[in-house]
Amino acid sequence: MNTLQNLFDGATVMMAALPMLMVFIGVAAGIALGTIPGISTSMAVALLLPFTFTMDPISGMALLLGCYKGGNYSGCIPAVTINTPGTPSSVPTLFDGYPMARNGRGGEALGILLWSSFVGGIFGTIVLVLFASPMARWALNFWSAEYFALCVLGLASVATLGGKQWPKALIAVLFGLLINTIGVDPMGGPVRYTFGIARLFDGFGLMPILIGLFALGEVFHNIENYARGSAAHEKHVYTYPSLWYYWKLKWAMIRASVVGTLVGILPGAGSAIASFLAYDVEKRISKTPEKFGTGAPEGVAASGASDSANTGGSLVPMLALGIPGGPTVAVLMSAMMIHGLAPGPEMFRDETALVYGMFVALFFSSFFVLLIGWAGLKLWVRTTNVKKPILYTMIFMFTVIGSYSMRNSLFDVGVCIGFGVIGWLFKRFQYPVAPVVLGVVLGRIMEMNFRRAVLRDGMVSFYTRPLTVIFLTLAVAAVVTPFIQEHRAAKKRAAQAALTPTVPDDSEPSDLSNPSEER
Amino acid sequence: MLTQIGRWLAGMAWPWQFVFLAIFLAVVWVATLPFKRIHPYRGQLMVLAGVFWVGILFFLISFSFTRPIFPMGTYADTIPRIWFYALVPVVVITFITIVTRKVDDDPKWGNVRLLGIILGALVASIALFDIVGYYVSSAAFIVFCMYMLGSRSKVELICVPAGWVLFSWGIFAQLLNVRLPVGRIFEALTGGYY
Amino acid sequence: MKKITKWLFSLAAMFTLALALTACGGNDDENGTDGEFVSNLPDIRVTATPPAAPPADVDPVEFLANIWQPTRPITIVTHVAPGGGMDVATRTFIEIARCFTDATIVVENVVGGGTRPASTEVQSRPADGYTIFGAAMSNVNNAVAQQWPIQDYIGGYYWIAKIQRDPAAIIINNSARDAGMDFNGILQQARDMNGGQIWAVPLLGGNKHFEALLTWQATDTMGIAMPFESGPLGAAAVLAGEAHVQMGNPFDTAGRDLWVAAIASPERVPGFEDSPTFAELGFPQLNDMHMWRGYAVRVGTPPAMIEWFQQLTYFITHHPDWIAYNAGNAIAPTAVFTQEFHEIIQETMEITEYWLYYLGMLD
Repeated sequence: MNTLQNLFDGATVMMAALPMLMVFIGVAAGIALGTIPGISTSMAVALLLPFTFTMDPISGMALLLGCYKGGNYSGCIPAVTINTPGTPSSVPTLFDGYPMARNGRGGEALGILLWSSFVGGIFGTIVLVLFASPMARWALNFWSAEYFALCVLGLASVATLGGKQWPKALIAVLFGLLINTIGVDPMGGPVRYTFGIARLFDGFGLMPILIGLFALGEVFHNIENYARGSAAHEKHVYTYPSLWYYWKLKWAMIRASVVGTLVGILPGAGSAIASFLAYDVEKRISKTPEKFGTGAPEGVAASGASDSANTGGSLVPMLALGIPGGPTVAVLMSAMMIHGLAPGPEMFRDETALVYGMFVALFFSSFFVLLIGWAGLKLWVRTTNVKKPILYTMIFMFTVIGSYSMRNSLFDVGVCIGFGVIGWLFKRFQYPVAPVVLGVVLGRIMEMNFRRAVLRDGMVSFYTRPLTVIFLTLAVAAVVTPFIQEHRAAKKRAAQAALTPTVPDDSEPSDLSNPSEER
Repeated sequence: MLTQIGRWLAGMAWPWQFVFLAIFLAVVWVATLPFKRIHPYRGQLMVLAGVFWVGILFFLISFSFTRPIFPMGTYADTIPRIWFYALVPVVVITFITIVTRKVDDDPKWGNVRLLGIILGALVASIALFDIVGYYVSSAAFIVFCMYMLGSRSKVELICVPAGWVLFSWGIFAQLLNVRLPVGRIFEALTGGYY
Repeated sequence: MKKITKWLFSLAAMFTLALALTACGGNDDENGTDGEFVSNLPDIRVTATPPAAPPADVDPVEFLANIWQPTRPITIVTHVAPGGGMDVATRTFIEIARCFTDATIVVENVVGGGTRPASTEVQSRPADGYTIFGAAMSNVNNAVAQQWPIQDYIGGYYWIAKIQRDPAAIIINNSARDAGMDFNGILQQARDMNGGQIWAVPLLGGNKHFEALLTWQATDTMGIAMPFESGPLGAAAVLAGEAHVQMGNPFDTAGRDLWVAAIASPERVPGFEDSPTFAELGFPQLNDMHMWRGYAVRVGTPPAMIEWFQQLTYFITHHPDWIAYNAGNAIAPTAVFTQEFHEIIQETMEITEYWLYYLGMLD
């Protein structure tokens, strides 16, 4: 009842002309900037930050929250259209989104992304409104040992990412983990593997690696197999599924929203773990896991919803504890501080109307994302119909400027091209690329938390803390299960082969594999 | 001994690291020559060897890291070594799966010449950023790349680079304050201010 | 073949386990502190008279315009990302600067690389006064710790103005405070835990780590410094109970369920009236622990520009908005110029080198 009253107070503050306009502008700016590869959500929010100095706190926060939501959604768009993830957390979106777009299902993929983003956003905000304080308290149960175990669980998704090529997936993930050790020891020790390059003190930038491995790797691969003429004018006619089609994905979206929100609540875990975990969960429970990676709608729904729900989750520790849950939230937090507000339990108590006004702004942001996203859908999908000579050249230009602009560094451009070549070679010789990213994203968090846990309690912490034990057990199970399933399937196949001379294809087609039937 | 090797390797500048990698790959390549049955998988083996070399290099260098005198339980060398120790058996397993032909053959090389030309042009255009500046260099690359990929429309060859220069100037240089390289020539012309 | 593969898999698994267990083992030779400590640092101090305070009745805009007139935007390069301490301080500084000058001043965040790329960026630009380095204590810490060429990365700058003095604070959980814990309680707990008390610091070998060591030395206690990467994550560790104490700044408690058990300040700080100073607690030698933020330009920058910026700093640091901004964050808005600032830089280098040597963290 109290929450409802607070929400009403918040809505009273928020539902004025200026704050609403600010939410809309924020969402529009976030979407516009987020679709450009190389501009992260935190950059977009930081860009709008100075404009808020002269505004009242609620309008300023409305602008920034709108930008956060908009940027978060649109960061996944280039992942679908040109295989270029805008953020680490949008990597799983491209696993299925890009194959869908390549097969002329770009409209469908972007539609799923939009709706999953909406559902995830609303879900994350509801959790934020109803359970911010208790969930933040729950997050405090996570010590370094738990974070390490959570990373191990995230890493276990390599078992499903690799499929039958699991040894190669392991090679890829270990490559990612190894290159992640480059730079100053995160605990404050010596400089590792920089070979005299000062730019490597912080290790390789994440975005140049992502853009290089996926976008450049893909373009290099396409150019190697490029034939002038036929491919250059290949055009798709896009169709947009009905609402009923999206409704069928509701459980995938909700499951992913739960994962995204829960991981988002943990400060220091990062949205990428959530996205990979949500994708992994969806693939594991799917009846047709073999379709994942080739254009499974559930895969796009899972990563999109998780990524969006994560925004709500990551605001929980900031608002309830005063701890930013990620880089973008850190910028939001500094904006609040510039306005003389100190996020935390005191703000929850003393500035109730403002806090709940922000919640209302988040709800409206999700609706505006849906509105603007729907309007822009047909525009973005056209990207994939651009003539190949122009498209490939533009991807080159975006990768160069995107990797440069992160740190104003030509070195990062070199890194991007280097990883582009690595991505091409990996793709060419059938080594999966996604596990490299998993290793790079999780490596540093794993190292910090492992070493902190050992420093505090020694190895004891990994088998005496219940949550740690649960996560580690789940990780072991996640790795072992596919092997057991494969073993059983092989036995079954052998038994069937003994009975009949030919083995029929008994895999049931997914009811979502051909959406045209639903239209 | 390992510390000395580690220090020596760590002290070698980055171009040498590529030389070492090339030597290691060449050795692996030569070692595979007598075994004709694995020739169809040599590309996969070379990627495996490349990753393994990174592991070996990082493992050896980890012995050169300074350790503080206060107890920490783990040190800067701990994690790289753990990853290397995990890498060794995985490399063995992957090697077995490759040589036992449980993987597909390496795909046939496609239009590598075209890829090489475009990649070379991309690297050259980036190298030219410091001399002629981002805008001129990137516009030239766009024209070259589009031409190489088969575009012959004059409108496209003029409008795309012009549009890109305008877009990158407006969004990145003006809106986002990204300091795109202007190049020494323009720096000299503008007296260092740009 | 299947049997051989199984054997190989089992062997590989055992090999991995055995090697993983040895990963925490030692190197061939342990590094440590042998012999007498000999400083290898150059002397970067300068002799210069600080600028005379401008007359009280002067028009600041006209006064500054008479010293130097910038003809294009001035860029302040900082090593922190948007939203970081130095970034927010600089943006606030720039906002207030608009009251005194028409000059356009912008912030450029060159992040990463252990603060080195930001410094390299400044060094790569002309010494014409249009590029200013927005530096903090960590820049000097890192230059010494990672053994960059000191003559370039510290001696290559003319340190024109220190603008903030952020006092050190010992922070505990509010619930611990409610249970009766205070600074003396922390010391007692440290003794009871026999060196096992966890102190959250951003990283080992950094300023906060040194402050923790100084505190233990002064109070004859011992603890474990645990790096949590940033102030907020350190605060989260204290809230979660993973760390017992945070070595931070008063600002780290803002809005959070945390309490400053001791503060390094000559007197109690407004907003933190219930937090005693180290001097009050009987440890006056700890009362000067702080981190600073300030500005530098390349050696060779026109003197007129330096004087202009120093006078601008003088006006800004006396502006009510700047004082209010700093007071809200428990920061002393000090304006310290050239010679005195160079002394502080030299001292920072020497303290860093001493502690790194003492900890065996210098190669």
